[in-house]
Amino acid sequence: MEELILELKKQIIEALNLEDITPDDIDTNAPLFVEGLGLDSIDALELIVLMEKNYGIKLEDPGKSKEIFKSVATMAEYIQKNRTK
Amino acid sequence: MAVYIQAAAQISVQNPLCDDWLDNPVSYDVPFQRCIEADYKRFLDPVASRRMGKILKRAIATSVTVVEATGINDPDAIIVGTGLGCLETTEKFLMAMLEEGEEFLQPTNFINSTHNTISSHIAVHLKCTGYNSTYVHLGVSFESALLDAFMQFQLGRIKSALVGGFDEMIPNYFKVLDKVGFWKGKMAGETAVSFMLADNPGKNPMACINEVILLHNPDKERIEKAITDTSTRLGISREDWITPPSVKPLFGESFSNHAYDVYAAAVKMQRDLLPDNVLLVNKYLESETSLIFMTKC
Amino acid sequence: MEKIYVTGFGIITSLGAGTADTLESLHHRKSGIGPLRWLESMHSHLPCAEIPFSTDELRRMAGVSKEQTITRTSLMGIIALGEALQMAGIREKNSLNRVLISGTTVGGMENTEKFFLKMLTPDKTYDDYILSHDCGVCTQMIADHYGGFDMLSTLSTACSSAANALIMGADMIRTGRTSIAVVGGSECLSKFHLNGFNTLKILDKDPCRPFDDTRAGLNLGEGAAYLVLESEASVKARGVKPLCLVAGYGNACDAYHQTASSPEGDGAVLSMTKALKEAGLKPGDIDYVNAHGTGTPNNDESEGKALMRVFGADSVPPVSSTKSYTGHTTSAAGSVESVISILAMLNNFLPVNLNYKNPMEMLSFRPVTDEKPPRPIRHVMSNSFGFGGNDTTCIFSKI
Repeated sequence: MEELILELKKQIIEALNLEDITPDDIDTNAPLFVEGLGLDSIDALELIVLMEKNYGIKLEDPGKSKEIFKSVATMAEYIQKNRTK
Repeated sequence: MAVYIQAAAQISVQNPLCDDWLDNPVSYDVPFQRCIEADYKRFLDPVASRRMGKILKRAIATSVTVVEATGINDPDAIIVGTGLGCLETTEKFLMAMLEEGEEFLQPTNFINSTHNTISSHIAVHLKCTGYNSTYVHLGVSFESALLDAFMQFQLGRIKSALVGGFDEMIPNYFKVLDKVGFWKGKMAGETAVSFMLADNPGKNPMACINEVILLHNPDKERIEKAITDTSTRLGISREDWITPPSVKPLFGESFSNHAYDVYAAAVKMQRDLLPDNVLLVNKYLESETSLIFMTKC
Repeated sequence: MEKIYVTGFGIITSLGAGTADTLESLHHRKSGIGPLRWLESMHSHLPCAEIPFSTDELRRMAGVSKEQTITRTSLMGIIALGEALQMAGIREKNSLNRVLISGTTVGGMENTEKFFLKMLTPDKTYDDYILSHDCGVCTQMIADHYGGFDMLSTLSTACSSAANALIMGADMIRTGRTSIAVVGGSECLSKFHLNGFNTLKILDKDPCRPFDDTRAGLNLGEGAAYLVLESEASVKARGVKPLCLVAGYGNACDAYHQTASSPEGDGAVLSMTKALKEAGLKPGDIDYVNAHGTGTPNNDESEGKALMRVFGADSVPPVSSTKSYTGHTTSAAGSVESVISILAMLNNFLPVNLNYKNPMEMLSFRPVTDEKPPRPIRHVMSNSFGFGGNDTTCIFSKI
């Protein structure tokens, strides 16, 4: 799981172009949206692409994805359960 | 009617956000040069600007600079001229689509590829809900934006306007245009200039704009007639207009680079380095010509 | 304030080429949305509203030779412009003190995307398309096909481009720079923006349902439309019969987010209010609103709330979106829908909002389902709201 979390943080940094941020700067359990990193709806769409491209998980509805994208921890949990890649 | 250039700021192949280019220009001997970037951390939070390519960062930096210089925080209009728009993000989206297929494309690159994303980013950054438009007409893109702003002042709709010319160039697109001889031996550059225009001089105005004219496929007679008609209307003798040499060679070629001619004229007029009446003429191939009439404030 | 007349217009969309076909489709509630025919994409399951002519057919209709390198966007523009000039009785090739202001975002991308990889190699086969890529050159190709335009410009404000072109042209007449301003836009479908909109997850897999509670997104369309705007003096001098008035227009920026409209439609309220003020009209004077109405959850709620704020919750005039007929013609939408609004006014009918079944409970009004207007249509309003918050409203009035 630790490996997945680190991998996921690196992918998030790349997908969202968070230039000056390292994996250590991202708190695994902190909120990703509104507070914490302060991501928005476009970032949510980017994360949906990330999930499908890297892990084969298709998320059709950006609205329902709110719970999955709550934090890196919740994302990693969902990936572990549902990945096809 | 005169519109005042209260402040102007540039980022280019010359040193950014200053006027070193006037006495100490950087010289180049390359076919293609990208801008010398400013320190954008001063203007933008890195996380907030994560999606912005260079053209957007330059637009925000030059816009904020003229806002700060004039204290006009909420201009009545934001109008941008760009010939090719956001090439970097357009290329990212296009190449991913062509090389990797239509499956895992990134929305950020698409959103930031549309031409009007520049004026819209400026508006969101400044929280400005006024008139907002973007012109994309070849080598007179900037002048189209300037003409629109000028008309808004003429019609009494606005008291201030943030007008900018922005263009970027990327290696692949430079190569493709080079293939068809577009650059004609001149250096390809990039453009980022913002002007704060107002219906009043403010503290230290740079120059006045008295008329902006655009002509399509004009012959010499039409151009001359436009100049003489305007001279008569402005009460200035035809012979009193001086056209200074273009500064484009200092800044490189790009669709909106005539913005540097306006910028340089304004800087020089403010410092009494140019006479009182300046006529700027810009010709894009033979098909589009612009005339900008400027006077000392 | 000086009067600005509309003396002609031309249109080509998925409903067909010309105002007659457009009018017939509107009356017969016939949508142009269907499966992709011309554009090659893996997303061929997405309903779109393509013009029912191949690019070769458009070339023949426009009278452009096989040898000329030209874009689909320009061909569509040439056809629509031809109808507009003919309707306005403008035949001369020499200058008549007229300008063309055109809106586009795709420009020549529809060709560039096909040939870009080849353009990057030493292969010169597709090099002619390199200089026909950008937006401005498309306008030149449309204008120079007919000749006689003193000045050109090109606008790109996403989905409000053509509406802003109208503002620019009208302002050029108001400031005495021209007597005639031909204004509008043209946009063909491209893989680039089909995929772009798809990544934003705002495309509906089914035909769109503007102002329906179950709406799930928009369908992309392609189209071109131009209007001939003319000063009163020019109309008198040429002895032409004006069709209607450009009563007013307004441009504002939502300044909220790159792709989403503010929840209460602030930018839309501003553009509609500005347009009413410029027209010297009260909200109660408007007899029909052609909404931007894309069919996305965000737009229709935001625009709906804005309409309620401007007109009062109990007095929203008849509203419909005609994007369920033409699809979303993006940069051309402002002029396509202005033409449709004017046709509605001149023929005194309300374009029905297709595919509507389930009311949006948060809105106090329902879209038009009956063609018969409750009162004669004297003033119509057309809204166009673009990505980046570029919001524009145009109002046309009967003479």
